[in-house]
Amino acid sequence: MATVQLTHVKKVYTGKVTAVYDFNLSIKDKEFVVFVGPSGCGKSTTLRMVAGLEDITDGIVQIDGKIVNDLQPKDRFVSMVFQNYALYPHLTVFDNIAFPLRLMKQVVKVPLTDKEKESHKVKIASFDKSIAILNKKIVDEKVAAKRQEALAYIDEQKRPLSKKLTEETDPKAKAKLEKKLEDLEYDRLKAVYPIDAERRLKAITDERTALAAELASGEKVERRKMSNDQIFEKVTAVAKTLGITDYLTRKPRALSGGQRQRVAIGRAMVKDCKVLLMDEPLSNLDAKLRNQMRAEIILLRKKIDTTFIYVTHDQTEAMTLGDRIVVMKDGLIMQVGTPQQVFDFPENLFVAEFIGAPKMNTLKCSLVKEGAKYYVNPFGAKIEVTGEKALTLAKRKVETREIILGVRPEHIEIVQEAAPNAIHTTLQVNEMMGSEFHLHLITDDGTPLIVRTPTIQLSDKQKGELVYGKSVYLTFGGQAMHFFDAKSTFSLLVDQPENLMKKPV
Amino acid sequence: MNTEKEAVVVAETTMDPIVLPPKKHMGMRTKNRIGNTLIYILLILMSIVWLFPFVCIILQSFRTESTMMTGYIIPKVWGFDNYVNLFTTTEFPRWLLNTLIISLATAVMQSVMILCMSYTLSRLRFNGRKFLMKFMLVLGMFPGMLTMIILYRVLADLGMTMSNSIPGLILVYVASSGMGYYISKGFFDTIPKSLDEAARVDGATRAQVLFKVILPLSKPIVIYTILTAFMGPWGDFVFAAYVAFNNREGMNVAVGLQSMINTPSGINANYTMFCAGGVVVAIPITLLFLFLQKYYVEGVTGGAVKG
Repeated sequence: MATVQLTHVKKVYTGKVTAVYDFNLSIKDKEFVVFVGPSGCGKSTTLRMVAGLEDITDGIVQIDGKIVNDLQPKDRFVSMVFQNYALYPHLTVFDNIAFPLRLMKQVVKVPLTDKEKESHKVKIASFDKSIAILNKKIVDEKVAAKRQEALAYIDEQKRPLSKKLTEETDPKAKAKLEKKLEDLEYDRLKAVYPIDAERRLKAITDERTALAAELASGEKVERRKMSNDQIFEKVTAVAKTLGITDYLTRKPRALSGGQRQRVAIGRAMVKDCKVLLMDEPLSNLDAKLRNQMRAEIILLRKKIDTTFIYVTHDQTEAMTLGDRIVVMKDGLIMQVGTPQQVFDFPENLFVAEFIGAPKMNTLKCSLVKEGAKYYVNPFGAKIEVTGEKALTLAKRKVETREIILGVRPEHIEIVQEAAPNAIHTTLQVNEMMGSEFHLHLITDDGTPLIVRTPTIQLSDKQKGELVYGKSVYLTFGGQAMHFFDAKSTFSLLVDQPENLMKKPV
Repeated sequence: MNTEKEAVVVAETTMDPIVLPPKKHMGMRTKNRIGNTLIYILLILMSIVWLFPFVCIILQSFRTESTMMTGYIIPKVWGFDNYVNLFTTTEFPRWLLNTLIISLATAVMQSVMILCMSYTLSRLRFNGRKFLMKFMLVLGMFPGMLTMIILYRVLADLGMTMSNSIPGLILVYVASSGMGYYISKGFFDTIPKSLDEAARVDGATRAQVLFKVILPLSKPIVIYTILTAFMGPWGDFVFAAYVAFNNREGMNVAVGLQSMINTPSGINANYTMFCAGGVVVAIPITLLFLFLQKYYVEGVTGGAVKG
């Protein structure tokens, strides 16, 4: 249960491959966020940076308001489910789930003994003395003056260097200058950073307050290993939730894929973590099991009640599981939003094509403004933009321009005969999906289109006619259209957030 | 040709006769049998050559009619006198204890060093890792004898020679042990990295990952490492002799036994006892091998597949 905040997070692998550019995201407490994108888009890398398995090149990751950049994974209080389960093969299911508990130390309150109380008092007295001495030292004007001097000196050195940098053209020399500037910046930070006395003062004050608090409450905090009874209780409770009670004595090798994944999830949820990270947990399962486990994760989520970050390349998983979806491509966030937002108002062509199956049809055409009305003209047809979309276009004062028109396959209708608002196409392939057909068609100039059409409205005769070479007229409603700039591929309907989509050169 | 064909037609049955192709060559089975026989003859010859010294030394150790070297192998009078004398009249128990101390200490320390080193090179990425690995590979190609003189000098300066040679020997055996990382690193490399990552997220430190996850999964290689670490010092002669420098208190078994027979009079007086000593030294190693053989073989191949 915690918030997660990623600010300007960047990852550059050695060998200068940038996996993640400037990732900014704020995850609310108990939110289920899904990172989705094609392979190699940096989604797993981002997750692993949150887990602490990957160094953060630049930027800040905060969990529960605390900066965790330099913390080991074990100190971040996160759990993780891996794509390949990563169960410990030498341990039984019980021991696998108990593994994190056995490593964990619990905070237990123990009453102070009289002897300890005495020693506490003595320590506090000596701390008070040191605090007084240190305070005097810090107040000493020389310290402050010296620091000012140092800062001024560094700034003075930096100025000519930055000037040189703007004039320099040779990339090698430029890099050298940048390195020098960086070093100076580091020195500056060191100068600003609390000096030794201040640091020591802070440490001593902290310890003193801790001791005083212990004295006041008469209890001290101890970190102890969890007892076997507690572990047994917790593990069996988790096993019951996941329905793996019968396999607790088995080794992972004797389990099926689905059971293994359950154990992996059990191991992740057994400790009270702040964030539960899932890295493509369902990718190794077959399709049927995947659907089942997906439903189970939705149910589990209600029981576990923590913050989730889920990574997947499957848009169906993203849509069904997430409170919010983060669509990524090539290390950049393309859009963040609820599944509905992302589906209905894709901010760019990539998101439009990535979310939804089969993928959205894209047609090159122009958007024509005639008076107050907007028209699109794909393949000679003339279709009016209606409803809210038209209002938004008018509000944003969009003029006549070249666009890429996006229409989802389920929003295209088949019409019986030629009409001014219909496109003529030829059927190539008819995929029978049960309750619907996926028709693969090409227009007269060879652009492929996909149409999803429910079978229930079609008569047997009509169904029989949908074979290769059949000529079909298509049209679509004015509401169902998405407009993307032909060059930048941004949507014309929404503002582009400044920080997204900016790829540094 | 024709007659042969008819001969293999099975005529007695009521079913359609099965016609077998005529036999042109020797059958597969016969061929195999001849090949196997030849191979076995060769192998038996080889093992006789190989086993001869062992049989010899065992037989000699039971010979009690004389202590000198003789022209025959089978003893005329059998007895345990040599063994009894070995333990009662010589410093052999002391040498055995010395060797045991050295070997056990080396086995423990060297194994820890090698396993930690292998884990580090397998899992951690740091500047100069590749260079270090190559450097150690090249360094390992120089014969160890080259360093002997300087090592002796160092040990002498540290006061770790002569009667005080045990800590000195342990130090030398353990010091360079990190260089023997190849096999266990190769084995660790085959263990999926995600196991490490899972354990680290579960709250383990790097050391806990090594001891709670990686080592239990690498039992064969751990046993292999311990075994080789134990055997090295157990049978070492050259360096041990050099460090002990004829001081009888600082000798290990190999050096001690050799010291019994390195003079003409010694060889006449102690030869059979020397053989008994050899047998005694071989016993623990043999037992260890029999006991751990299964893991040992697994360990060597297990690490080699994906080195």
